[in-house]
Amino acid sequence: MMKKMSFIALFLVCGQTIFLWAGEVKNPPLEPLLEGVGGEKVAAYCIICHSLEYIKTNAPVMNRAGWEKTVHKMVQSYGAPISEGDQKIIIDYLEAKYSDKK
Amino acid sequence: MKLFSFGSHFCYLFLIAFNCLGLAELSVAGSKAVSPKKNLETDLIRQTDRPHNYETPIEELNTLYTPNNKFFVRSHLPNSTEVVEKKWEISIHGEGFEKPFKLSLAKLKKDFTAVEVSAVSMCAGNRRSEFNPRVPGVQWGKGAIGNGLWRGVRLKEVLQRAGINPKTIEIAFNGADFPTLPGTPDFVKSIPIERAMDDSTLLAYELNGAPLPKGNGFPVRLIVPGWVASYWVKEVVSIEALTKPSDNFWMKKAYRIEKGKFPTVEKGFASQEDEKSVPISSLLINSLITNLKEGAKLKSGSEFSVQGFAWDGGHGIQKVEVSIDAGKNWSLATLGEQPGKYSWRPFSFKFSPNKGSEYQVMARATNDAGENQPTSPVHNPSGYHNNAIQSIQVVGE
Repeated sequence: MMKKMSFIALFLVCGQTIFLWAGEVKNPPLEPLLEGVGGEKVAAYCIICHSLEYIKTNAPVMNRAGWEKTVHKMVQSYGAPISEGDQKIIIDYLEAKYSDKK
Repeated sequence: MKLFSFGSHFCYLFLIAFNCLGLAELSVAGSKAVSPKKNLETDLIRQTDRPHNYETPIEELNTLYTPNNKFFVRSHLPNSTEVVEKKWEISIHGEGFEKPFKLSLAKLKKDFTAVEVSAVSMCAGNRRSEFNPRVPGVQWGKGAIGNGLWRGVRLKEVLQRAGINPKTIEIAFNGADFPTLPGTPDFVKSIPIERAMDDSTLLAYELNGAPLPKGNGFPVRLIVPGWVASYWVKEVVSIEALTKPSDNFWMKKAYRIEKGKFPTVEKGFASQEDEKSVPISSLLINSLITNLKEGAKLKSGSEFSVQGFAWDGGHGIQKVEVSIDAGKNWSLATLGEQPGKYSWRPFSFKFSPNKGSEYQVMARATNDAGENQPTSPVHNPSGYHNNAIQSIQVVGE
């Protein structure tokens, strides 16, 4: 009985594993930010609360005005401790590297 | 039953190996089903890894109930406490309760009647990436949705034990998640007292017969069937009765829609309305084709069955129509059983593709209130409520 059950257990575990492998998702690796003036500040501040993917995935809908609005929202609504000087550096970088160029 | 504590060394080695890979769960308690351990990076499509935002691949949405390990994960804050079930406690407090108390997980399960409800859980921003012009936010595809069989206790019974003051207008929920910065608003959502007292509103601890997966609210989450999932607060640690409308950021600033944009779902939450906007609440009539991808090649000479699901905020699905010629002609799809008005309802439609022919496959649902889906999304700045008719180009081969 016990032997039979361990075979069943083995079968179940293997079966499940094969299923999981078959349905496995391949996510792309996380990418570093593009190099540019102010990039270090962007990486240092933004990553306090969230991963840097947000920047890349939102780039197609962004321009300077969009990034200004976003950075101000991070400071005013979410309490990001970024000085006005650093906000400008961050906005300049985001406009240059992660904006819709159309 | 100690299923895995005996038997061949082989079996044991296998288990150790798989456990290291994070693919199997070793603890089998009694006969209770155990969710396969969820591996966000290999089970789901990553939107953002911190906080966790992961969506379900479309092919995994092709069953009435979405598998636990494939159920989408949406988080607002990047941190959470480690869950120790034995120490878990929900604080039931606030001005609107006569007898505040603390409720352990064990007491929640023991003192109140267990009930089940089938319900669609959908992020308000599902299909946000399809808006044109595009809008900022997590760029969700079609997979920030799942249908589940939720088991838990009725919220109203828990509230009644605390003695509800007649002045109570909203019940607010907070989870164990917390922000990194002191200036970031904690994620707190409230619902109107009427919705809190509805029989379908649960404090759930199981999904599809197994404990809630981590990422889907383990050990206990709020279920508000028919309402968007932003209200389905996860890892609940606080239930507060409010006698004044909540002024939390996540109620007053986020998850709101302009008045007049979505008239069919505007009236759910009077205490949070302002002059220009209302909080999002009910799900709109919507549908999803789950077994076709753009550009799919279908075998000619045999029938193909277009499959999918339709749902709404609880009116019920009256009909689903399918078109294979870009909306020129529509035919009634066959509807499957719907286990309750908050579940999604399966539909299917068969046709025989011809070799070399192109087909533009579309599905549109109508609910029992006569509401149906628009041909293009109703544009709004945050990209909520995309219930546009899908259109998928396929070819016979």
